Amino acid sequence: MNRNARKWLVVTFAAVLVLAACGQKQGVSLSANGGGGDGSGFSDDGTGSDGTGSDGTGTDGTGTGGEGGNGEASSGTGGSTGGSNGTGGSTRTRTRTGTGGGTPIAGAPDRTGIDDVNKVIKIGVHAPVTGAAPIEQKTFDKGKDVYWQWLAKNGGLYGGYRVEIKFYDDKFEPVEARRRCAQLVEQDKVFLLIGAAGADQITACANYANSKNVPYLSAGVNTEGLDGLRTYFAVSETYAEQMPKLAQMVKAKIGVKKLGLAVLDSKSFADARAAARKAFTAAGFQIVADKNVGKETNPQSGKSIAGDLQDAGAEIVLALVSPTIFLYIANGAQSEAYFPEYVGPGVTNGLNTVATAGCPAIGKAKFFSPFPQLDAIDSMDPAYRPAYNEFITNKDGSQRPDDIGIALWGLNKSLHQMFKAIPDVKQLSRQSFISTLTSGKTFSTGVYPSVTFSPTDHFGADTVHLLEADCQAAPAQFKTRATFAKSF
Amino acid sequence: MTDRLRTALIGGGVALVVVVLLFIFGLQRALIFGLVGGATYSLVALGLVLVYKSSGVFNFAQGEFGTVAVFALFLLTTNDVPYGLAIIGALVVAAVMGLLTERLVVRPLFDAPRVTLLVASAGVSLLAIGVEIWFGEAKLRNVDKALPRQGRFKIFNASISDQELLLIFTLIVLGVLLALFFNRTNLGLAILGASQEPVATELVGISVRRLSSFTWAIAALLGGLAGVLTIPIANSFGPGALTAGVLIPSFTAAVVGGMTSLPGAFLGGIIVGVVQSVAVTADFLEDVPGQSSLSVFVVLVIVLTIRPQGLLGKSA
Repeated sequence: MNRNARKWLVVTFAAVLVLAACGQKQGVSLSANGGGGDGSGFSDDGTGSDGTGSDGTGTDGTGTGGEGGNGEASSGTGGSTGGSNGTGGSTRTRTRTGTGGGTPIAGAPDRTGIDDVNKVIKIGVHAPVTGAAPIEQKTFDKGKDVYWQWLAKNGGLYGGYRVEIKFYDDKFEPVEARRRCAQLVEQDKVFLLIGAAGADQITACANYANSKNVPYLSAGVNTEGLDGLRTYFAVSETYAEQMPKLAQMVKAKIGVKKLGLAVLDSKSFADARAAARKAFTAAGFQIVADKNVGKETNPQSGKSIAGDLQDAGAEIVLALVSPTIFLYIANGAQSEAYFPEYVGPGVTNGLNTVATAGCPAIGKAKFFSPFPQLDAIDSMDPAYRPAYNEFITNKDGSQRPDDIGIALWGLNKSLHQMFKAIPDVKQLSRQSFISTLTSGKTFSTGVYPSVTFSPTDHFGADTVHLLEADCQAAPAQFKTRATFAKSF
Repeated sequence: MTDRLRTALIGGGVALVVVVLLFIFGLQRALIFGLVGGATYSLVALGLVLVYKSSGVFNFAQGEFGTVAVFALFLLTTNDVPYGLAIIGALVVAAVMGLLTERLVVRPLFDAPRVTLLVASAGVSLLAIGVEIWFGEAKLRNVDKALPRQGRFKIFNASISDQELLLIFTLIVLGVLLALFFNRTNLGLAILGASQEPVATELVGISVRRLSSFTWAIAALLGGLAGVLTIPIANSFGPGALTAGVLIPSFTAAVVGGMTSLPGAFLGGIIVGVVQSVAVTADFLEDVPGQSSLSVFVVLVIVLTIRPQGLLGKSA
């Protein structure tokens, strides 16, 4: 190989390494914000004191963790410790370190994103349309406005205000998510941000939003990196919070068998992994394998992971990975004639696209979800399907009501409930929105779990839906097996 | 003893020691998984080496030749075209994409620095992914296998499917055919000559540009074969499937084996496949973040330190 060739070899490998480094998901900066103190205070200055909650002592179904303390401060340092886990209860076992502290939003009410002249409230959304957890862009684009269109026809918001959603693909990359969120906040001037899916992307974006005092909502993913953010709110349980219920569900519906963990190799999932190990061990399961699944997993390495789980004798596989990687593992397992029961918490693994692409390899996979499937939505919210048909299907016959539409419908409905809690649009600001959320009010939609936030707890849900793959159906799809479950 | 023989003996000895160690540590199943998985990398790496040998370009569009072929296969099979014809159609689509890439991107930049072509090939890849999303949505799709039977037989407790056997068989046949083509045919020698001395090649009456078209079409065909043979093993695919999951390991395979060596691409793919498989399986690497990529990188550094031209590559 001559010198020139070597030079280009070096150039190419530099490029390859840069691409490979993208897989490391840089940009997920885990926040070092002081937790514990209450960040919702609006006093001028001060120092947030440590949260001093005590251990929860939950009994079945009602266990509660101790609360973090209140350290109201605007420019001081948030407290560092909150109460520790509730124990013994079947629900609400989250680590309730207080959130916030530090620098709450001060100054004049921030009404960025609210256009009183044209009566528009702008909202920014990011989601992985491409990447390892693909969400179909067409269905996403169509579905994101359905709830607001329906609402406009049924009374509207604040006497005629329209909600305008600006959406970007974050490509399942934290750096891209952060860039897009910056664009949404600084260029598009949205009022608040919503993260539709992807733990690392949500973490990256939520931290950015917190630094800009912009409210940020997402389905629950991780606690680490999000706990301690003043402006972040989870509208469903985090993965870690779901684990005790997941252990109960598996025990009740499948039985106590040998369990293998396949968890994405990410700091964001450390809390979920620990919670899974704790919950399943306590429930009597033997954890025979605990695989760190790399983000670079492809069909080839997916098969190796499946083989390793098989060798370990795992009869149940807890999958906390992106849908694409889950399918690589399940298909790899199938090629080895290995058919474990797949279970998991999650947001996107229960989407019908996973069943369509994964059946029959995924068997009767059972995943928790913040929203129900198509088979249950009519009884839970009779307005969804007619609204979708009226505003989408009638204009585009190829587009039927789908589960992504349900996810967006529910999320927007949650947001509507939150707006409604501030009766006068003139009072609506980023500060008042956050204050309202943390006021202790309960927001119920009948689609997403009811949520109740407090100044020290921005992870406000305590129920889940259970979805199960039905590979016999045509086309293969997920069915709703339990709704708003607090325990199993 | 010649240098070549000495190198082969040392390489064979190292491989034997590695295999024995894998057996001692109970990783024989990972070895088989790696051999099968590595076949995919080898197939893609063959196309990369082919283009590099002929034009000195690191072709970042190689993965998309495969993904586009799979999209074509999916479209044809879902429209009731018989599978055999659908495969042929998919390969034709890949070859046409290769020709178009050469005609519209490579040829206008023929005299540009090679790094310009490298970037241009990356552009072709991004464009192809964009078009796939545009037409096909970023959703996962299933594509049938040519040979659906799973678990034809087991080696060290690892099942081998018919589709995997087909992949391995195709790879071996292609490896042999390409080696013969470049060493024994006038056209193959002309391509090599054009890559090393383009002016001299033109002076003896060979059209370097026409050779370039031919090479890109063959490389695209290899990429297409990689797509239609390997993606059905994984069952589901989406836009950019081969680029996202296979291109970087395949580049590594080509470099480990030697960018100028087709047998090297074969060997490099197998090495990368085995290293990845062992890395995700071995207990002692369990807690190492990114163990798969890291292990491949370590092997790459070791190989390039000892033999900068790659295991079977030739230094000028």
